[in-house]
Amino acid sequence: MIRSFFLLFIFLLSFNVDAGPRYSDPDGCLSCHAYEGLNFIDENGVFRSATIDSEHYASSLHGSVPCKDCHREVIDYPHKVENTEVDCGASCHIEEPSEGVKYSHDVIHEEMDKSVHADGWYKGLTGGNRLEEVETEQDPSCRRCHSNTAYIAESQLEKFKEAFDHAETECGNCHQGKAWMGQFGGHILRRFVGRRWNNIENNQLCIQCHGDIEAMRDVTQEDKETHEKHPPSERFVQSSASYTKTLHGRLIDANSDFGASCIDCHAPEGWKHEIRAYTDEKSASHPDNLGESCGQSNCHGYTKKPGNEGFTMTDMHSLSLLGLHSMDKPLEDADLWESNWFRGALPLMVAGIALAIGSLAWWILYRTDKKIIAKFGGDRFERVMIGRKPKKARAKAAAKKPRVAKKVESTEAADTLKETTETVVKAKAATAEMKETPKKPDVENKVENNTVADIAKETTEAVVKKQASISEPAETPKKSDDSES
Amino acid sequence: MYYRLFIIGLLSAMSHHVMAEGLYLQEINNTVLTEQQINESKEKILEHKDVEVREKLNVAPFHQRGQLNASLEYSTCTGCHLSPPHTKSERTRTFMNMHTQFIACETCHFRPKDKQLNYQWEDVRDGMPIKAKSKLFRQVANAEEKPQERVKALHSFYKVTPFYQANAVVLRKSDEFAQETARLWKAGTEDEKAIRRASIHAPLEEKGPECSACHDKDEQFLDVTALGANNYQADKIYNNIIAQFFARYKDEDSRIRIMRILK
Repeated sequence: MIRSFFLLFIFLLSFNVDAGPRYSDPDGCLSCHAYEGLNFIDENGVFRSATIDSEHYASSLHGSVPCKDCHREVIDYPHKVENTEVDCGASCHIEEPSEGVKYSHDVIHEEMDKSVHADGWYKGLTGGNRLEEVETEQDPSCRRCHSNTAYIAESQLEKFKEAFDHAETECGNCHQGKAWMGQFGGHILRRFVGRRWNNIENNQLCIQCHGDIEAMRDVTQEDKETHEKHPPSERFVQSSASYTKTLHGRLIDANSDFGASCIDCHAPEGWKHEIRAYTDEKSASHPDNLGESCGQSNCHGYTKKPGNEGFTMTDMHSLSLLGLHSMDKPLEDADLWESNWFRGALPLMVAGIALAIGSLAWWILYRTDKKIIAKFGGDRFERVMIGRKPKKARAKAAAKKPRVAKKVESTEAADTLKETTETVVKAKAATAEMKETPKKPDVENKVENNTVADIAKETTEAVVKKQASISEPAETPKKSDDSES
Repeated sequence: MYYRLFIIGLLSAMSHHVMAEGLYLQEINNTVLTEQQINESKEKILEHKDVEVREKLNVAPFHQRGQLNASLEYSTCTGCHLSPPHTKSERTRTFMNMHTQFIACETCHFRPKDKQLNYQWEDVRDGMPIKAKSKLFRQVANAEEKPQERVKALHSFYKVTPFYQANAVVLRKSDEFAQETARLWKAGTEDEKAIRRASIHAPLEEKGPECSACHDKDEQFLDVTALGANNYQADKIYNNIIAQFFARYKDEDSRIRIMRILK
């Protein structure tokens, strides 16, 4: 009986295991800071605002984090600046649900420590030292890239709502109670919905600094082994501009999901803060690791296979993409001799120059005004197109005929041609005469015109026939002479 | 009949603009400056150091913050003073600047003892008076019924402004006097500048009224109910905890435990 009562008590108690309302302002900070327009211009001329948009804060990433979890030392008013400092690596009062460990960004800080941005501020952050950071620091602090944005990005809100509608039935079968749904359901769903930032947003974050060419020129780099400091290379300075010219950069500009963002190549694994220099062996962009990096996420999977490494050698930050070279002394440009295009074209260029010089020499030394006689192909042309006998057959036939007879024939042919020419001249004169005489009735004109036309036609046909009969015997002796000589 | 009405309306509108210079400008013109006032003005000009207002920094604020109040740009004061103008007192500057969203500069700093001013809402863009109503207050009128909707955004250009004989006493940037002052400040001599500065400031009080002047029911420098506040809104204004805090701790140098603010 007692046992039954005890079970009933536990059962009833279970209904009260519920998430209470989350107070993000237990210290009453928003009593003042929620007022709009708490602005001023500080002694450095920076526009400052003490206003916290309370609605936005409640729906932000830190919406359930009380102000004092970050601004720990604020105890009096007016607040001392040093008391408002934030350490992003400190643990806060939010507990990781599975193990009850207090949450902290310190893991991220450890990652950053290994990266090229290791010197960026992660603590001592106040509203008043943003100008100091801008003027003195070249590495980004946490806040340079991250602000307290909305918990669910506006672009993902509809997707999230749709997923959340199913959460109570999908997840709620096992995970019952408002506490679970309120505290963890949203968080887990948010992760399932996908990345907060798309590739364009990812790139904008990097380009915000790396796209500022003047600021990049002011960067000082340090050799990891010798610790020697040196100015950045032009390749580093122009890295953002050269990337935008590549296929990846252009795809992302065109809002395509197929382009690889800066992060995709420089920090491809789950941890996005460990961006190392490409000279670092552990870097995703180190030449030895490019096969893995390019082959991630079904991008260029074949690069992981031996023999395909060459593909990864495509330079994503080549200065040659930018057309920055001076053309004053093009052959002295170091990049020119490293260009595969140039090396491939070099033999063709040499051959072209030799051909040009040879042609010029021939033109100067051997050029004559003699008629060019076809050495090849002329015989075939005459046989096929004109219908003449082959050259050898013609030479043979010419050799058989006696020379005198040919001369007689030639004289006869010349006479015939002379007669024909005279006939044509007469016909033309008659035609001209007809044109000069006044017009007669149509019937007579027709008769006369027909007569003249007939004469002209007959004459022309006769000329053609004669010419055809003349042409062969006229040429034959000449050619036979050639063959004899 | 309509013709007469039109003429009357036209004359009325013209008289409004003719009289638009208001009491403040009349006071400036009527002020006879003493040698001491001019000398003090000279010193102030010499001591003054221009603050170069920065453009947006590459490192943005972490939290979503407020925006610059656009209505301040219509005031002559921000021709010389910063916008927002209060910078010196670490203790009160943010709260003073917060009030510039809905209180004209002259409301606090132009308080002639021999004249009776009355206060109304005014659209700073065109100087037209706005009818008093509860919607003009930040605190919503029916918050008891809708506790989730306690506050709302203020209208960007409506401000409580002093009026004298139906004319607003404020000086606007578009006024001829303000433009002449701007020209003088560029091309004028040191003496001219000192005289102009002294005459502008002579009718003004450097220090505004205490918080309690409006936030205490017994003082009523501004009659918030006449400005349109209903009983609930008026009660919230009279019992504001921040005003009560400043009433208790007036010492500029002291630092107060936050927990005591909220008492």
